[in-house]
Amino acid sequence: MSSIIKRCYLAWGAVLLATLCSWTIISAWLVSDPGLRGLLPPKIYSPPSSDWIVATGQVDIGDGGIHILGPGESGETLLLLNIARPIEMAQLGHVVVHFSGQLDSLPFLIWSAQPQFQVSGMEPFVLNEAGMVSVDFSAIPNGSDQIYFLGIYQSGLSDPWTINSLALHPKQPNFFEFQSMVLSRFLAHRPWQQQDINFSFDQPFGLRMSFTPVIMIWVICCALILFVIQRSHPIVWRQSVVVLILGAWVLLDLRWFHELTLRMQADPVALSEETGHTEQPIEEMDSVLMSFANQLRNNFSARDFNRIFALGGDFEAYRLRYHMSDWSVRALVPDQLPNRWANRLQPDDLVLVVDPWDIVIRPTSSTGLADSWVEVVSHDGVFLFTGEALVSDNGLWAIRIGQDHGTRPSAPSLGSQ
Amino acid sequence: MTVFVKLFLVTAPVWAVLWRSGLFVGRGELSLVTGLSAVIGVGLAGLSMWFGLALIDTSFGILPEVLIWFFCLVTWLVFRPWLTTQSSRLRFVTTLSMERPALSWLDFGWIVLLALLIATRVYLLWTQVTLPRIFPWDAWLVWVYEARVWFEQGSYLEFSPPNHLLTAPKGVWVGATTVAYPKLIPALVLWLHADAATWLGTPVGLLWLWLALSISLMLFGLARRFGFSWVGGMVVVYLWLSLPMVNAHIALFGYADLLVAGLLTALAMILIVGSDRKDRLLWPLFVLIIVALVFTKVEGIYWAAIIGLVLSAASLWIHAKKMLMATIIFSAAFVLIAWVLDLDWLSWVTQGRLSIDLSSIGLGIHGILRHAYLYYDWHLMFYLLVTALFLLVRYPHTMAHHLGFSLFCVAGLMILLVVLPLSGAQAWLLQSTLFSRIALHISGPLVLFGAVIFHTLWLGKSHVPKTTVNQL
Repeated sequence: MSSIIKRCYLAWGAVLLATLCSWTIISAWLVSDPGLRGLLPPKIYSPPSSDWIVATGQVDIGDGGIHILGPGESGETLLLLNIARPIEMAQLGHVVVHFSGQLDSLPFLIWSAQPQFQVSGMEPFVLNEAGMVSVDFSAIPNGSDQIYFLGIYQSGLSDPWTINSLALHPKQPNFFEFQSMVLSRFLAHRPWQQQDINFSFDQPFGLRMSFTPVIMIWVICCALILFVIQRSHPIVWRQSVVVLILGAWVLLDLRWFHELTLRMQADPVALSEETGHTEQPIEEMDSVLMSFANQLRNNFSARDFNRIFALGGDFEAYRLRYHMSDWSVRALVPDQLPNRWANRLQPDDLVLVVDPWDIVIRPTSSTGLADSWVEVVSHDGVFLFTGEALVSDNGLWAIRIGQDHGTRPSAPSLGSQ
Repeated sequence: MTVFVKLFLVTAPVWAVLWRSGLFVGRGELSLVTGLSAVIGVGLAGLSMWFGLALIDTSFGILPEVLIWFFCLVTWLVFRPWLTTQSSRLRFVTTLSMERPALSWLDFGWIVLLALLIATRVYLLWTQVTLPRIFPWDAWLVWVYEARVWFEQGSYLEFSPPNHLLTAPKGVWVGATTVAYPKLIPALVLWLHADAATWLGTPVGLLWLWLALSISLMLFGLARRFGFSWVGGMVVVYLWLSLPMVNAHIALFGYADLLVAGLLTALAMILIVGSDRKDRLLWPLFVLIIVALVFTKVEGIYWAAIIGLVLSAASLWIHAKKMLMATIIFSAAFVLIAWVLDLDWLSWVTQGRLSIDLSSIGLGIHGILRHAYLYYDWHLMFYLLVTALFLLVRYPHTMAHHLGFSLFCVAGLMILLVVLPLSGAQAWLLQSTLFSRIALHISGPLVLFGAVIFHTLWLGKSHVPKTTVNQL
């Protein structure tokens, strides 16, 4: 028995030593490559996508690239890139722009460390080779600031040129930074998103590593080492392998346990602070929606109307539909509706416009209708319907559809008076 | 009435009848009966609520509880003499045969450690269940919404499909999906609110935590029945309860998948107990679970069909191996002909929900590899299950006494790893929830299956896992 125990110590010691040695060799091998052998890929933003915003200038965003045709009235061109998941400046190595055309003067890279765009820093691009300019972020002193927006700024007239892509290259770590990167990746928790049951998150910026296969490969290697050492005691080897597997499971579970513990601390207030730009606006919007619904309930009854619709984004429309289920509210999400859907509205339908950003509501008093009448237009200027505004609260509107709701009221002409 | 009181009210009478029946006497009996009663109680409550709604439209209040108590009381009164005789006889014989080894201090230490791990996990789940809900994820848009409308209206309503959104007249409630999902889940959510003055919302999640605890109890009881020590049984519970996907389905409650998981674990239990001894009392339980499966989720119908095939195969193997060989040859010929003639038999069986699409198998495999082997959803479960399959080939005696259960688990794994990538559901496998949902359904039996095989590895290849009753 004592020989088996000694053998066990020997075996586990060998496993530990082999693990340390092999990890050191693998780390050194990975770090010797600029992209960590594919584990540190750049994040590439290619047009067209909704991430690009033209702040000023004559810019055409199409499939072939972003065509910068000329400056705006102020003589400047500013193109912004909205980084959906903010990136820590310390993580960023190079920002590389691939372009085609002739650059008269090199543009500047600007960045915003605020969720609402505000210039936090600016650095000129350097021409690396034909068709490629870059900025080395690792040379810029920075704290733990997070970048929410990147921008390409150009002043004055220039020949048209085209941006083909913008790539964010993570900072290349040294051996010890790599160890710390692995540990922080292991203990990282993903933002809490109630709507996602499938864990299909975008890959975060930085080290791309899944620990599940890594740990399983480690288990297999350790099992082989144990087999070599304990081959004369198969029962000890088998039990060691089972212990190893359980240990690996617990190790993976520690990562998950850490994530859950962070969530446990997240009461609703802390939750919204923790996840910042994702959940907090939703929570704020929720109270606005509830207040709007209460105003409606206090002043009207569902019987006063024909059908009732909530017109807005996914969250707002479906949230109101759920909250006012006794009113039989139906969710109208423009992206999911057929063309000319507004023509199917009927007189006395009630439309609750709960999307203060994408739907525009204008008074129609200049057209001779009563003051309370409004016309509803989509964000791209398409006329939807007219109706009588019954309630307006925090940018949310309750509009009763009139008889000629599908006809855009025109301003009364002199001839008709 | 609180959610827990309602759950207790439907569990208690089922527990009393099952305990008295003596069906599960032996190691882990208390745990098995409690877990099974909790799942069956919930299933019965959902079924009675749904039938009440659909047939008489007046099932609000405590009708399900009354029905279940009445049903159990009648069963008790009618079968009392027989139940008592059988139970006493089995208990007597089992008590004689069961060894009761003393727990060492080391075992005790492990038990305390595992209990702490499990309790912490349950506490973490509790905090997530009781977190106020804001965002309407799809469970909230479809199933919980339907329950809420029924609650607000005080009667059962059919929902128009979403393409009637702009055309349906006043007074029609429009649903969020065109799929005719079974109504057991909204019926259960409504049942939890049936005697509430106002809509509760968040506490509904306790039902999902309850289901997870029931599955854990059944797994513990089954592990004990397979000869695991207390420590071994708790390891099995920890393995299942620690799966991140189990956590996700409790935190984002409202989906039917955890109930399907509970029902399939209960079915696995019936298969295991049924291979110990043939008892006619198992059949009503079996039928009840199948009915609940069919009314819980569309996939429940497929699982019921798979169980039927598994039982047929097991019974053929036991009674007529030649017939089994003939069946396999005919089935293979049928599949080959269907393939050659381009007949999409999977599409026929699943009414078009899944269809064979050989052109994009790669995408399907990619999706499965991601979810099973790359993401954090299942820890090492699928790696170990593949290893367990190899070990099963090496030590076929491991599961010789539980052919039905083994076939069920192997069939489940084949569905997940082989049939799904063959189907036309690749996009769902790659980006969405299909694989994880179906894997969750059978996760309880699969964890037990893997644990039993690794337990054999631990004890030595000569060990044959037998449950306590067939040792008699």
